[in-house]
Amino acid sequence: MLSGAALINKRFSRFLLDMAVFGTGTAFAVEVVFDIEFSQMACGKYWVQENEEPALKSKIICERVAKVMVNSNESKKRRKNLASRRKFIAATALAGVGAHVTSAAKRVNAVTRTGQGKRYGMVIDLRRCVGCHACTVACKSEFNVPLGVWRAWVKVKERGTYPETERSFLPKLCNNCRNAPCVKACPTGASHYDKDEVVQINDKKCIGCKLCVAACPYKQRFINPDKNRADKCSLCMHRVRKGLVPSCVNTCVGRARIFGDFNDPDSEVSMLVKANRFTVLKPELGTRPQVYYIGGDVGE
Amino acid sequence: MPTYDIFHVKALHWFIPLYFFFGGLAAGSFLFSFWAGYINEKLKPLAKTAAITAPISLAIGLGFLVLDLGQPFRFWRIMMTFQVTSVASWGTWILNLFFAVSVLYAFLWFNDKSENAKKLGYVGLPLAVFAGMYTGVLLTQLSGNALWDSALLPWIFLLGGLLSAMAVAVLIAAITGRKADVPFYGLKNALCLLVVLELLMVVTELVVLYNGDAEAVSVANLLLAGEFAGWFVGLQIVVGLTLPLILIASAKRTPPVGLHAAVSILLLAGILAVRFIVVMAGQVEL
Repeated sequence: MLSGAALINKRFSRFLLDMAVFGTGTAFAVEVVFDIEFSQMACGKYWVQENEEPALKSKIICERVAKVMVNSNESKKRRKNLASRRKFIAATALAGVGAHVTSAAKRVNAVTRTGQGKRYGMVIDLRRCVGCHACTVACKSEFNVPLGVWRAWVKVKERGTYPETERSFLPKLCNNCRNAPCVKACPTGASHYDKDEVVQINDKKCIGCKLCVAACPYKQRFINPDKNRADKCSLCMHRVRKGLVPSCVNTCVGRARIFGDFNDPDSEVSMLVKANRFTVLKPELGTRPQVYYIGGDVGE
Repeated sequence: MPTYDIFHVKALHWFIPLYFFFGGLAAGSFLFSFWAGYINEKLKPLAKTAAITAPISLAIGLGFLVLDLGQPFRFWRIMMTFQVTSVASWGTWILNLFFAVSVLYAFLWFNDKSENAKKLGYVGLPLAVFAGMYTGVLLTQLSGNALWDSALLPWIFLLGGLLSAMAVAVLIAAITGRKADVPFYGLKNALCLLVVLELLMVVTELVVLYNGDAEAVSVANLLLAGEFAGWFVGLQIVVGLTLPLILIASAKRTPPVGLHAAVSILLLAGILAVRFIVVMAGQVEL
């Protein structure tokens, strides 16, 4: 009787284990195929879509899955004639792998830019910045940036000894590099160039690996402690697309921050860089940043 | 000249050097297992242990990597695309291939079908070399200080991986009570050579840094005299590499099991220290 009880327990526990593995595997497969996340849905913290068309993408994925299943149905009929079970399994496995690899290859981001579209950036007039930090506050307010992390801020440097002292201010934001190291380093394609060729983070794809945070030489990226994903200044594209200027530019008291499209020869920013000597941060790294500082100490 | 800036949190935490260690151990185990199994047949008893160590330690390392993610449940998204410019993306795909190959290889060795495993071993050799070296290349892609800009880092990591693989093989053999007929189960010369090479690479790195620009000199000072001095000189160089070298080279007769185990543990500590120091010291803002 004892051995019988042990046998039932062992079979039942094996059954439970099988169900657990099968259930986890199915849930995982559903997550991958339909591009959803149960953990995120359960927490109520669903991702913020940015410039993505998820309906279209999941439609494409469903069509591809249907194709693979249809093929396996046809080969089932042929299998009766072939009487070769191993060939069938190998064919469907290969089809599955091939579908995965081709779909993965199709989701590669474009890492080069055509240069024909817009070239958004900023000119910052260092003679006008008084270090009021209104831009810092406006940016925090616009995006509800959590405590301890910053999307845009002003760096302050003090020089000299009394009485020849001086303070200089360096407003900083994402430089929207043409050759962005963060885009190059991102393994999931979350860091990408959006349709206005501005470096953005796809909130859905970011896994929080922190490689882009480590890759940015200007320390402009951070891990958002609420979302546990990478975050950075987005150049307020949600405002710019409506015809406004970024929040920090809007609030700057001294009109030190000027935003515009450098590919537009009539924009204020284009005129300013033509008329003034400018510097950029760390040009020797070859990132080609699009934030130009005029009126600073060029020879420092 | 005081500067007031926001506080920048270091991007890479301690999970990353742990992954580097276990990933290097896996790559080195595969390479060592192939060498011990088919090239230097005197070491064949160690090859099986090393073959099984490779996928296990790779799984542990990848586990640490997933735990490090801000969104660990989203780790599968890294397999949904291939970003050609990202070293991490290359590493993900090739490491998955390497994992599959090493699991199959370990399975064959575990069932004592080592003849069939030789062809698979040839396939796995370039994958293992890639797995051992790509982490060094990954650091070059990130913007750390001059320590990460080194072309020697991939080789330091690969050699360290090989060294840790041999140390683990010796440790496991010593713990499971296998009798050693020759000092260090025949690995005495190989271990000495690898430790000497590793030391030479570290010395070369320091010399190059000292002759570089101001930032490179600051990094070298940081390692030798700054906050990392104790870890670098104490743990990595003296305890982790030089002391084992002396102990191994001076072993004339077969040393006791305890010495085998102690030397292995010292070597492993030294290699782990290399990873930690490279990752942490490279992020110090100079």
